[in-house]
Amino acid sequence: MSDRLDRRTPGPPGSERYGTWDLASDRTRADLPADDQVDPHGGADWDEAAEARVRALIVRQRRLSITATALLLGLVLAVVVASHVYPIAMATPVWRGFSPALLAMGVLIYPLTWVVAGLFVVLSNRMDGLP
Amino acid sequence: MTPLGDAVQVPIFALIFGVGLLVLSVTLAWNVRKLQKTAADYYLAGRAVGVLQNASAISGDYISAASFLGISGLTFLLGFDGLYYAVGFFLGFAVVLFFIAGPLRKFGQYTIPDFVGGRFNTNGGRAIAVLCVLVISLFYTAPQLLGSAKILLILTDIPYPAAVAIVSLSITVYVVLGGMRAATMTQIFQFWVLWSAILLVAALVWQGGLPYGRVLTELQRLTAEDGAVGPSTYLSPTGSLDLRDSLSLLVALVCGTAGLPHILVRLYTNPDRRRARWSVMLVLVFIGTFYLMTPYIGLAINYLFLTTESGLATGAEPLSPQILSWLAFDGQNLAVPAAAMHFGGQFALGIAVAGSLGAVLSTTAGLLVVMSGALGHDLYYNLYNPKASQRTRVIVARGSTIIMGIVVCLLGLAVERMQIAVLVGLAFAVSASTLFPVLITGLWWRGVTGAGAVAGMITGLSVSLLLIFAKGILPGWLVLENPGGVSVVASFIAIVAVSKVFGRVPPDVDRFMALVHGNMEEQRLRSAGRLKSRKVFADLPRR
Repeated sequence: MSDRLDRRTPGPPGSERYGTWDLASDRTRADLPADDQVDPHGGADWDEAAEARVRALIVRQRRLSITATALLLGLVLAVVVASHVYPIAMATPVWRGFSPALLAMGVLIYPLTWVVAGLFVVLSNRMDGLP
Repeated sequence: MTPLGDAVQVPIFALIFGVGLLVLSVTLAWNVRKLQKTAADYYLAGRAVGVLQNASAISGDYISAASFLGISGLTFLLGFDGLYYAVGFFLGFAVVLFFIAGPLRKFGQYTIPDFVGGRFNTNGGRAIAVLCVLVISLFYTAPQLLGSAKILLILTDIPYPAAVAIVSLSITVYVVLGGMRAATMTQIFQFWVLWSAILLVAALVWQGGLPYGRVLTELQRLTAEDGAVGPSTYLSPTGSLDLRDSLSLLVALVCGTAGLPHILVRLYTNPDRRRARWSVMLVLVFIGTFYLMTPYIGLAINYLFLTTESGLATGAEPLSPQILSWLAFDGQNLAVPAAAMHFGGQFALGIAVAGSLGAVLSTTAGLLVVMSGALGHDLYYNLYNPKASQRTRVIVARGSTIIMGIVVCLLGLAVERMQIAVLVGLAFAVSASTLFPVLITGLWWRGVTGAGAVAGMITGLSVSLLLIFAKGILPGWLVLENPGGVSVVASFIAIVAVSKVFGRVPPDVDRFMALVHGNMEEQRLRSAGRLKSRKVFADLPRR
C-alpha cells in the first residue's frame, strides 16, 4: 500500500519518509526543502503523548464545529418548523413589514452567521496554535 | 431588434460591458499562459493564493447564474419560498467552514477524488468519485450556459445555439490558456463586477422609493386584503412548500454546497489551513451581503409588476411595457435585469448584464478546471500513467479542458427548455448525496472503510438520480421538491452500515488523522516563514 501511493504521487527528494502519505509535493509547495517537511505521525518526536494530544485536539475541534453548526442550523430549522406549526404568528408583521419568519430568514441569519463563523475561526486557529 | 419585442432597442451599454468582460477575461488568461509549468500551477494556481483573493475567487466561483438571476427570480415568482434557496446556498458555506475547510486544506493534493483515493487507499473509490464529480459538474454547468443565453437574448437576436457556443468557446479558451491561475484572476474580477452590479441595482430600487420595509408592507396589503391582486400565500413561510419539502430542500442546498467539487478544490489553493479558514469566513461575508440583496430586488419588482398589471396607483413609477414583456417572457430569470432597466435605465442594465455574464463565466470556468482535473489528473495521471512528467500532465490537462468544453457546449444546447433553478437544484442533490457524506465521515470518523465510502457514493448517486428522474413511478411520500433529504440520509446510512460490516479500516488512519487535524508541522513551517501567499496578479508578466 505504501509503495502504491508513493509511486503514484511522487514528491521531491525526502518524501519517502512519510510512508503512505505524499506530503511534500502536494500539501504545501513542492519547492520546500526536505528538512521543512515534517511527518505528522512519525519521526523522533512522535510518541504516545503526541498521539494523545492529536486525539484531544480532534475532539475539541469536533465539539466546536458541532456547536457552531447546531446553533445556526438549529435556528433555521426552528424557524421552518415554527412556520408550519404557528403559521399565522410567523407570518404576522412585527417590525416595518417584516414577519418573524422573514426577519429571521431574510435578514438576521446573515449577521448571526458572520459572528458565529468569526468566533469559530478565531477559536479554531487558537486551538491549532495558529495566529 | 431583440426577440422580446419590436419596440425593444439593443441595449448598447449592456453589449459594451458584456463583450468587454469576455475580452478582458481572455486577455488576462493570455498573459499568464506561459506560467503553467507544473500540474500544481495549472490545477491550483501554485497553491499561493491569499485570503482576500481566494475569498473573492470562491465567491465568484459560487455565485452562478442561479444565484444572480435565479434567487431574485424565485422571490419574484414564489415570494417567501425563494428565501429557502438564498439561506440554503449561504449556510452551506458555514458547514464548509466548520467541518471541511481546515482539514481538507491540510490534506492537500489536487482534487476531491484524490481525497477519496488517498484516505481510503482505493482506486475504485477514486474512479467513482470522478464519476460523481463529472455528474455534479455537468448538472451545474448546463444551467450556467442556459443563463448566459437568456442574457444574450436581452442583448441581440442571436440564436440560442450561437449564444451557447460563444460563451463555451470563450471560457474554454481562457481556461486552456491559464488554468486555475487564469480562472482565479477572472473569478476575482468577475466577482467584484457582479457584486457591484447587485449592490447598484439594490441601491437604485431603494432610492427609487421602495425601501425593503415598504415593499413588504405593500405586498402584504396587496396579497392579504379582500380583492387581492396576488396570491395570499406569497409572503407566507408556508407558501408552496410543505414541511417535508422545505426540510428536504434545505438539507440538499446546505449539504450540496459543502460537497461542490469546484468550490472545495479552491481550498487547496491557499498556502495553509489558517488562510483557508479565513478565506471561507470572508466568503460568508461576501455572499451573505449578496443574498441579503437579491430577494429584496425580486420582491420589489413583483410589487411593481402586480400594481402595474392591476392598474393600482403607487408612489413609484409603473413598469414600462418593455419590462412587463420581459417579466411575462421569463420573469423567474429576468427580475434583476428588469429592476436595473426600470430604476437605472440603459446604463444600469449594462452593469446588470455584465454582472450576470460575470456570474456565468466565473462559475463555468471553475467547473471546467474541476472537470479537466477529474479527467487529466485522476483518470489519466493517477489511474493510467502515474509516471507522466509535469509537462505531459499540463498538456493532458489542457486537452481535458478542450474535451470538457465541447461536452459542456453540447449539453448547453440540450437544456434550452429547462429551468435554471431546477437544474442547479439537481446538481446540489447529487453533490449532497455523494461527496459530502464521504468528506464528512472521511475527515472526522476513523471507522469508515473504503468499502463504506464506495457504498455511500453509489447509494447517494443512485438514490438521488432515481428520486429525480423516476418521480412518475414513485410512491407519493418519496416525491419531493428536492430529494436531498432522503438521498443524503441514505448515503450516510450506507457508509456507516457497510463500514461496520465490510472492508478494513486503513491501517494508517491514525497517520491520516494526525495529518489533517494535527498542528506540529504547520507550526514549524510557519515559524520558519515558509507559509506565504503571493498576489496572483503579481504573476502577470511586466512589459
